[in-house]
Amino acid sequence: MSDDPDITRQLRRELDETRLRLAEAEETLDAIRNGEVDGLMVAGPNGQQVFTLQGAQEPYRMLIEQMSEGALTLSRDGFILYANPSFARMLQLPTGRVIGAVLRDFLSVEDQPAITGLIETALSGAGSGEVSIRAALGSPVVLRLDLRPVQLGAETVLCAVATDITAEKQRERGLLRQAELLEASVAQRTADLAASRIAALNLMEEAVEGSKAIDQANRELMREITERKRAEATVRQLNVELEQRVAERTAALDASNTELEAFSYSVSHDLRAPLRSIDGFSRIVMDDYHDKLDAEGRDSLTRIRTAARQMGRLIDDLLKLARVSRAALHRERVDLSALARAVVAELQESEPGRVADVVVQGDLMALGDPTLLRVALDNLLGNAWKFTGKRDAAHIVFGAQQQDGETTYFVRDDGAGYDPTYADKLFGAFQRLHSTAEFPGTGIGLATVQRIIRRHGGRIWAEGQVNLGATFFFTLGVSERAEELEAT
Amino acid sequence: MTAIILLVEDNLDDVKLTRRAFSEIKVGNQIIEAHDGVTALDYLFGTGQYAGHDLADTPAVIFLDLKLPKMDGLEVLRRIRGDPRTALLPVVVLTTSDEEQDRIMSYRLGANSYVRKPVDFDQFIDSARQLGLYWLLINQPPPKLPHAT
Repeated sequence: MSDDPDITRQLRRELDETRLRLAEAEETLDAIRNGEVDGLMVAGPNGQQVFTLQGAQEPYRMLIEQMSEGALTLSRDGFILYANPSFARMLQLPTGRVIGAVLRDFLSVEDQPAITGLIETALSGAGSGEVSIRAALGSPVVLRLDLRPVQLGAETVLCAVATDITAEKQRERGLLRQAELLEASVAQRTADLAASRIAALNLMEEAVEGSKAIDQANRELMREITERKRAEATVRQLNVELEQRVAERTAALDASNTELEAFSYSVSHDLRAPLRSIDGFSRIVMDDYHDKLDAEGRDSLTRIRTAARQMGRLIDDLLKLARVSRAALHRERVDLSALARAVVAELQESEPGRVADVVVQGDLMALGDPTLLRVALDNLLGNAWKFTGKRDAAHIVFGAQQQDGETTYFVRDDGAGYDPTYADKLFGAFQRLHSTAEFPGTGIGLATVQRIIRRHGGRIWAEGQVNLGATFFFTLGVSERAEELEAT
Repeated sequence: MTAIILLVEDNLDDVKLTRRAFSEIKVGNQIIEAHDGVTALDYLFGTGQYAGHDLADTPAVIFLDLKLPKMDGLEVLRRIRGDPRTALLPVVVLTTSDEEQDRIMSYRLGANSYVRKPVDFDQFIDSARQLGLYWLLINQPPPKLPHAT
């Protein structure tokens, strides 16, 4: 060993440097081992050289090379220090053209300014943004860059992952577009709605107007209905009143009928009794004081008696007339011929001395009330009998003839007849065309007959001349039916 | 003792004429007059003004007018027929009425006969004769019933 202290000092210095380099080399090896470094810059005979490590880096390299995401490394100035094939594909350029180029140059004009800011932001921690690449051909590509600062030796560089979000962006645009369209459509719809709301409001207004009109019409209708109802009510009321009046009238009629019956009853008793007294006591006077009375006296008393008897007959006839009006009409098949024959028989019996030729046509059937028809024939035949009383031989005929499809019955006599000038008085009650001296009578008989005939719905009329007799015709209103009955 | 005729009639004229008629036909029977229904019943039942009257003196026939004051003829007839003491006595309704209702009611209530008094006095006399003849001579009156006294 030399004793030179300078050599020793130089050797110690070289040793320290060698230890330092060894430590660095160990550190580097450690770093390589740990995957912190995958490239070396080595000073060589040809200057500085970058050596990338293959062995330990292979999986990472594979990953980077193969991944679909773009990966790149950027310098602070924006130089692309490294780019993986995917990134190059995104730029639609070969990798050689990409590495070493300025990222900025690939960006679209609008995004170029932004990249600087993005890099700055990324250097302080992390940064991400969206950039669109100027398309080499076709549609622009939109990338999402996520940048991270990384220490590469003494340098701080940026590692970035680029994701192609073109499709996404397109979708976004599409969605935006759709949203826009939707919004537009919504706006349109809203506008439409607004319009239709207005239209609806208008309609409503119209409807309200319409309903007002309907209301009006309804009110008028109601008014009409009320009027109608009122009118109906009035009609009903009137009907009720009418019915009431009818009922009252019927009651009044019933009452009057009852009064009539009471009157008849009273007449039966009360009017006859005094007549009997008049007649009776006149007779007694005549009998007891016969020799004290002269002809005049006797004549007076006779007249008194005659008058009393006449009044009695009048009362009887009036009562008969009243009964005829009151009695119910029971229609049945009546043999008028037989009835007439019975009446004639009675008349003959009352005056056996009379010579009378009475012809009664046979089989004269009629539909009527037997009692009332008997009274009618009593009167008609009785009259014929009476008014032929002055003839030596009376001729009386009772028959029937067909006239205009209906049966007309007749009683003909050749007696005193009557003056046709007074024909309208013939059937009047109490009307007589002869004096009582000529022919007794009350003047009620024909009135009674007329009432009976009328009640049967028939007609009665007469023909006559003075002293040439008279014929009384009558119908019974249902002669056809009688013929029908006959046929059965 | 001759049979008694009970004449129930309110019209005094008619009473006189009837008596006259009977006297003309020589009916000598005693005629008891009752001028209303109440008096007639008093006589028949021994009440009122006839209280104490011997009820053995029953009439042979009662001539009854219908139109009477107080109690009308049909009611009198009803009462006569209603009492066993008088139920069988012959009653001749002698009236001016020709009303059918009177006739029907009279027969329904048990009258034996219904005669209408004519207005004509001659006829009246004739009727009286026939009535007297029939009811007093021809007709057999009912047997006298024992009376509870």
